[in-house]
Amino acid sequence: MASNLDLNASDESNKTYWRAAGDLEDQVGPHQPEPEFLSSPTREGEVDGLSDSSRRTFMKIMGASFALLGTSACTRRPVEKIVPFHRKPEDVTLGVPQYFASSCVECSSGCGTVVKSREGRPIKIEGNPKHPLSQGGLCARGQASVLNLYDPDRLRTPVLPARKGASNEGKWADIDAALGTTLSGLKQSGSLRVLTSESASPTRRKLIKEFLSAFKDGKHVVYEPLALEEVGLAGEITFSSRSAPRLILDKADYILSFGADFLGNWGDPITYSKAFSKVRRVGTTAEQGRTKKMAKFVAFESMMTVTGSNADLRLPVKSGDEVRIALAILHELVIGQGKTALASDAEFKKILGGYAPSVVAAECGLSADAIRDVANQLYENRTRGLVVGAGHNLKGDAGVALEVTVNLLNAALGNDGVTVDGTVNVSPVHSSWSDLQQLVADMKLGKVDVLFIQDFNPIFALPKALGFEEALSKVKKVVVFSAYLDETAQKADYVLSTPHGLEVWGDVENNTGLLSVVQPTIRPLYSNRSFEDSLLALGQAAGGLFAGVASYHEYLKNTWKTQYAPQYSGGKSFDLFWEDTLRDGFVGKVATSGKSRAINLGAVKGFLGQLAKRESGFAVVVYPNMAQYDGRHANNGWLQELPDPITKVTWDNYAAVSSATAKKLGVKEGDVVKVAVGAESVDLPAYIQPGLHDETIALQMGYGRTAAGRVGNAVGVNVQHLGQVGTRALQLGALKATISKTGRISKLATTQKHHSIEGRAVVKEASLAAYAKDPHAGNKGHEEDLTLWPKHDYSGYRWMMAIDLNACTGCSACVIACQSENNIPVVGKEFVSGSREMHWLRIDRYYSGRADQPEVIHQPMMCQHCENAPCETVCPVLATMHDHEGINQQVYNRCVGTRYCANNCPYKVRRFNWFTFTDVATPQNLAYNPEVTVRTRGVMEKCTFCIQRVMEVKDKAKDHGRKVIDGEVKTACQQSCPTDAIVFGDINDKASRVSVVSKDPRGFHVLHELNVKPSVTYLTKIRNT
Amino acid sequence: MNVTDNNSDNKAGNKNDVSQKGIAKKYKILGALVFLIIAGTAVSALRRTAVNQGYAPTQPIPFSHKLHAGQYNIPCMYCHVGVEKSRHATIPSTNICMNCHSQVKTDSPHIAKIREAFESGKPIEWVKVHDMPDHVYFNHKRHVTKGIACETCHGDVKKMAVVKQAKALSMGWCLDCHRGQNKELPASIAKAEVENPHGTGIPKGGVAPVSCYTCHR
Repeated sequence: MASNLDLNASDESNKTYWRAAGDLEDQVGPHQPEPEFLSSPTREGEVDGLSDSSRRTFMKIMGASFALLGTSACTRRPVEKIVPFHRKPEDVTLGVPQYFASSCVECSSGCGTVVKSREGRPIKIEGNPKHPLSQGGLCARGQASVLNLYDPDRLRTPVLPARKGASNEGKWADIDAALGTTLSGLKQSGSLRVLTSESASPTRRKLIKEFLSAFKDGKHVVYEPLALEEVGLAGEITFSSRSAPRLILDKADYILSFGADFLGNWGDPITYSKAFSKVRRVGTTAEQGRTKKMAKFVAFESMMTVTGSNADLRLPVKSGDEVRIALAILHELVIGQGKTALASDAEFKKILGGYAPSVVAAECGLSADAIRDVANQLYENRTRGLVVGAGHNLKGDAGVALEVTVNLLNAALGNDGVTVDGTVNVSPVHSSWSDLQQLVADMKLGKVDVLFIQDFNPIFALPKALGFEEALSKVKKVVVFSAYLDETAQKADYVLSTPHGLEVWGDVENNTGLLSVVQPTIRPLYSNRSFEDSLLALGQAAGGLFAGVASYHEYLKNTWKTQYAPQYSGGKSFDLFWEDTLRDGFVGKVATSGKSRAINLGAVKGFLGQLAKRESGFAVVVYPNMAQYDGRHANNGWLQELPDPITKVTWDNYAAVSSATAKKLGVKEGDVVKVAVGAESVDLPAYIQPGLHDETIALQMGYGRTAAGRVGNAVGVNVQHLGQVGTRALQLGALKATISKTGRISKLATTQKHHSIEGRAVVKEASLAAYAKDPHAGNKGHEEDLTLWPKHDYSGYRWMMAIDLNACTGCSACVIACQSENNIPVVGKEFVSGSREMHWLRIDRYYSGRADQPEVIHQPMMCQHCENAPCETVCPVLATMHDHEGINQQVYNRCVGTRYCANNCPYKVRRFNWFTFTDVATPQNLAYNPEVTVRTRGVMEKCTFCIQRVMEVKDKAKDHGRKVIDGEVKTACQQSCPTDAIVFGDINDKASRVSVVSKDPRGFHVLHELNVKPSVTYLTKIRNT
Repeated sequence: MNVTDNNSDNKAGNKNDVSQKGIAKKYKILGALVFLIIAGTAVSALRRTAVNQGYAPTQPIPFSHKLHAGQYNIPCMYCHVGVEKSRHATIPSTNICMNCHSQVKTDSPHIAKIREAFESGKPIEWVKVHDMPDHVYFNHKRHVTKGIACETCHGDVKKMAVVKQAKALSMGWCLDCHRGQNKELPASIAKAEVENPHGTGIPKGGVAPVSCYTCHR
């Protein structure tokens, strides 16, 4: 693919970039370009021989056309009605958006959000720029959750699953009466268990506690597979505190990770991304970051994570070996060099004895020098370094051992208290595997009379080895609180339907000293009741509980009044304090402690003395990806179609293997392999992942839902069932496995080769050392070229964008932001296979270097708004035009669909809608942004630089009789970016950020040799190697 | 092989050709006529489709602008409250009608309909008169705050008992003003220089931007 690399000859970094395993080998043979544009599909479903069009049919059925209200004559336009308010709310004006501060409830990070609402409908969720932690960022899942609000598969009433057909709908009054009787009986005898997922809401926990206090044997069990339980357990062993510390990444000069995806979906990724970008920024001005210094980031990891792909040095290790390597680093420091306080402890040295770097390196297939180098650099950067564990990439007992070692390393190097805050900014870990095991044991013995399950889907998420399903059948009454009739809800006696996170009240304790509120932004669409409101109603029905409390809203306000107002209100009246809190979305601040924690060395020694031995053979790691996480968003089309940041696969999971392993097994991408762990096995298509250890097989969780809804059912295979029952935690990493070829083929819909720019130099990079010598390093030789075209006159605004490749982590939040803002349709797996995805913004991921240890660059790519745009000159109907502010306009109503423009676009950013994917029925159409035309089939579309946002701000500026202020216009991608990699603004304003950043010596235009003069400037990636 | 036979065959063939040509010619004329008729109908139909000028549908309640805006001189903005705040002028909500009609002319059967709607909470479904295509993003606020009178686009509503679409509201009609070629515009606006002079083919003295994204996005 990289045959034309000579174009890059003027640049000093003459690396070969490639996009997929196999590309490197392809370079040997004759270059075969990918088909740029496929010809028109003659019939729906006739793409690459794929005929399964059920999902697409669904989308079409869901898109059953809007019947236009009566037509008076065939030449007359259809009659449309205007339905005004019957009583207009004072602060709602048609066409003027409202913004509400709230908090995201999609994971326990609880990022601050601003929800944009039009005419009472939330249409977009963005990060709250004022929130002290998330600072305006919001991940792909958080932003995509708005689509779930309008999911037609959501429950609309409570359900009694035992009854068949339509009669299974329940009535709240009947259910409350029936459950009230059952519950009042439990006050004297019998047992009640409430199983919930990890939640950061203190008021919810208080409510559950109060609710359970009325029962003789009531207990709250918290469990979530992706909670930070390993960190909590390790904290319990090392520091006698079951809590997760906060990482202070912006104080670190050296970061060592063992696979925790802290820039992707582990811990508090948005806050961490923000902090990480601060220490990784280089620039010529103070405004852009530190001048010639950046933190070094080294990662030992099994599956390549988003975080690992940003490492300066990434060493692939077998899943489970992370512990040994961490101990080897400790061995080198303590025994090899006699450094740190631990060196005087003979007993501890004895425990470390077996982990000499030379021994571990030989076992793990690394070089001992690599381990020693890391140990030396960690020591050099002591009190300014940070060691992070494996996070979701090594869940289980091995993960606990790793976290204990990581705690020791951080404490011994003096990092604890500086880059790790475990005393003030902590989040308690409630999730408990041992509690869950106890619950399952009790259930099996028939000791549980009533079980409440909230916001958790154990039948899907827990390993078969635990036997939850069998245990559930022995519970007398199962009550599930869920928004969907999911796998677990189907087995329940009662399903108490819950609303979406945008329809409820709640709160979040992000950290000690920082509280956020969740406020509803729409009146509940259906007859659902929140878990909290149900607890109140059931408590009242059982008698003697919550007397006089009308709603959870009231309960929440009362709790805040007594518990938080005294501390946070600053003397204001409660009403004023509450109003202010709802306006800002949070109260309190992030405090810093600077205190380190005392190690309980006795417990640590006892724990490390009995580590399991290394297993040989294949190891499976089951990990969450960016889009699907634990599978809760399976019915979200945006997330299903979001290409994985690393593998670029959509609509499927797979068994990722290294290319050496694939060769050994004789499999190619898409060949189905059988992966067996113990008694369980799964059949998955193989995917060849560069940079994966030869003995590791990586499987993505969250797929294989059977009762997610019409979009998410039967997408991929459930791999969570492979998990093993560990003594301390659920084992999802380092699972001993076997793998074999089945002979079947299942094609993966991957976008990694789509829209290829045929090996031309589109990304540029340099080492920090080269950059320090010459800021133009890696980016030489692009002087102004002559042009035949007349120059444009930009006397007003001139909109431009700059993207820092050094800051972009590839997290893909911008892709979803763009999709949500610009009404971009979902096309389904078969059309993605046919290269027909509609994303206006894509993130190209390029590998360079060796296939077993590649370096990665992520490059967001969208319309470059060229000054001499090749698309404009070929359009026969002037549907694409250049405007006086530098924007390349696409006029849908002029476009006749010749697709000449797309063929002439060197950046492959134009999208053609072959079918009417956008014509969706209520409630799905409510998610559309009314400020952007919903495109029909047959027209070309592409990035508009969020023209509707530009117009909105210009409109506001005109109201005030002034020009647009720099930073006032933010494109959707820029707003969502947690690392501020994207800058947008007016280049005619010489002081604007985009003017400054575009002039950076690192700035380059992609394919500048074509002289199309793009409006997007990219900044060279700098590696601290 | 017989030469004569071959010739006769040829002649027969030629004859056939001639007659077919004749028919073809007739068909061509007929075809052209049919095409013209169809095209003519289509063009006139399309013109009428695209331009709804003169459209005056019957409304569920025969509200008279002539009475309210004309005779009683109620300002447009008393009812169309969004016009200065939003791109939509907004059709008044029922509670605005009831501001007066809770007291005024309460015995009218039409007012009874409004009262009923107000009390039941079921909004009145008015028929849209000025119906722009969905890809047009016209902004009332920008035009009204610039000092363009409602009548410039909506005609003399004060004299309309039944509201009708007075102007073409076509793209060309919009551009006339944006290029400063509409003599009906007040001089203060028509003579103002455009904020961002740009592009080709726009006469000097243009008053508003004419790039595609001004109205389409």
